[in-house]
Amino acid sequence: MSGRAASPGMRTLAVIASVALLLAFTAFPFFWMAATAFKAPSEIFVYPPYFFPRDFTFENIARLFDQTRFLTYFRNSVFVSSMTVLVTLAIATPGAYSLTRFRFPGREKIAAVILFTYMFAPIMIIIPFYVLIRFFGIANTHLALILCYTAFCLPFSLWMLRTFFQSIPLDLEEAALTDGADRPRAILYVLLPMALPGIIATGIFTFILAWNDYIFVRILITSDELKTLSVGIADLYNSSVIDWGMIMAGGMLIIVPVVVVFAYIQRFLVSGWGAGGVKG
Amino acid sequence: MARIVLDNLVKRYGDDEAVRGVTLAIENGEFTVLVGPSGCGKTTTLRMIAGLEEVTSGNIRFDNESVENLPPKARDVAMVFQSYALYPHMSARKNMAFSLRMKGVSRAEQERLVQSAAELLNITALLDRKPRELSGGQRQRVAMGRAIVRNPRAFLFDEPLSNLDAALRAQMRIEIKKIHQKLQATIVYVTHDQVEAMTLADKIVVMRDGRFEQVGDPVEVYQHPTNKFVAGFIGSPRMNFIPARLVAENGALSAELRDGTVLPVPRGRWPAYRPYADQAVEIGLRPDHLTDRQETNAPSCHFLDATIDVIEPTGATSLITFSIDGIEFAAIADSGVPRRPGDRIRLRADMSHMHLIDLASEKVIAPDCSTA
Repeated sequence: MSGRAASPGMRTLAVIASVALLLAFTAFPFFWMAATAFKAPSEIFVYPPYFFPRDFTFENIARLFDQTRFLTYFRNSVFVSSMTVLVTLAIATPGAYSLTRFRFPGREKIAAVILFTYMFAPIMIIIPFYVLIRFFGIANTHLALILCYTAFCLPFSLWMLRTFFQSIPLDLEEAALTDGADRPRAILYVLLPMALPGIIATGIFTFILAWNDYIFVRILITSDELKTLSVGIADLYNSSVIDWGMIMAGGMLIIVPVVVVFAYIQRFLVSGWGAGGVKG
Repeated sequence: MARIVLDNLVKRYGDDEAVRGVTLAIENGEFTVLVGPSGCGKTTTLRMIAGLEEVTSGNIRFDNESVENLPPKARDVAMVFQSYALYPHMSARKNMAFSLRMKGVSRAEQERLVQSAAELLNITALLDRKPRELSGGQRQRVAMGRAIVRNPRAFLFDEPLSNLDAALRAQMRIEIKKIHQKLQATIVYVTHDQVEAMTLADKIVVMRDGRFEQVGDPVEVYQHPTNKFVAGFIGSPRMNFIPARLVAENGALSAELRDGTVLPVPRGRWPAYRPYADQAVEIGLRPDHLTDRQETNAPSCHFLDATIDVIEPTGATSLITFSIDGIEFAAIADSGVPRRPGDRIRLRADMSHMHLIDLASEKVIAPDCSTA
């Protein structure tokens, strides 16, 4: 390209080409997964491979539902992830609020230490978690998973919400207070509606983290009927004949809820409300 | 509307004392302006009245009822913030109705009150817009509407015009004054802009370092400042402070400037100023009283010759900056006479308007009442 002399049209073309390349790189595994999920078993190992199934079939999906506990895993994943979101937000929202709005000694240090705890990789804390869970006698329960995910998500959620609350001018809450609201109502009517994009973003983050987790389920859950999708699907590898069609169908169905949730909720993430309330 | 009394009000943040024991009575229906440079404690005082800031010690009374321990909600005051603080997710109508909703006023009554406040402020057409769809001036009106709609015991304004451009600011000043005249509301208004303070206030309170330097009606504070700070802060352009020596000769007093210029002190002031004879003092003289304008030709005028450093035309008059012996002065000159920097100018110093400042205490020495 001729650099400085490039016309706007050329530049647009270059941008589109770069985006397409990047998209192909990131989306190809997903495409391959979906394509394989709809291929008949005989087509999966054909060389050279087909990009698109020639004999389009739902057989893999049907077998997934028939021969595995996919639906149970799915239900477990939805339950555990949703409960984790609820518990995390229920703790992180008031926690982050107090970290931004109340003055108390060591407030900034507490915030820094909270973030610091997030720096431990799950693998480092899984053993202490397991010891605690055993101690409380809740090993091999969904409660254990929810508590572990909450503990793991809280630091980042607190930090993320704190940043959101910090971006909401104090004046707005004070205006509500002088307008005759008490603090709970000022929070309910003014702060929370404005923090909603942040709360939703935090919720999504927590949901995805819980949904995708493998290691906690692997360590804390032993009963097959309590497993979540990530471990349930991974266990399909353990059979003597690896059924790639079924695994790909499972993988595809795992990401469907995440895509749907994200597609619906992403509009909240574009924080359009913030502007205009206060000057500056 | 309420009479507000501040009694020895103190606010400390750790070791910092932001407000240092201020006492003030704001009468029912009075427009009181707290004015001072940034960090002087005026906003903190206002926030303590609103209940947004805890009082370290002292008393706040609304109509003899102590309120310093009550939450903002129980004080029933309306506040207009510098940032407008409109709720961004609500329309102008909902913003204005918010306080009524909190009070449990019926929807029909909410609508009636919002409409009537909107008519007063000329914002009826804007009621369904969100704050982000409004201009700065319109947001300001909605913020005022939100305060007016609830008929509070007092209005508190925290630098409400400082985000507006000069023209809009002047217009809103007039509107605020009109609203005050119409509602006869008790208003406490905070600003750092002394022009705003002068034009709006029934009572002006000049603050510095957490203390009230002077309280009085604007003209009184302008004409009779009690100390150098107030003299310099109130009035635009700023008062000239001229180092001088008070010389007594044959019973007459005059001020001798550093360059040897002698400005006679009006006879009526001699008794009050005599204790400062033969002492170094400062003479305070506003630029309005240091001018080339012909109408200023009273017997108390004395000529001062200067070389112009800078000319700032402001319309009919120009602000002239010149220096004598390294000290800058400002004077008002007629814009009709063509002048350039470097030109000589003969100014009349109207000494009947002079102020004598004690160098040690920085107090303005009050002239006898009988004198100019």
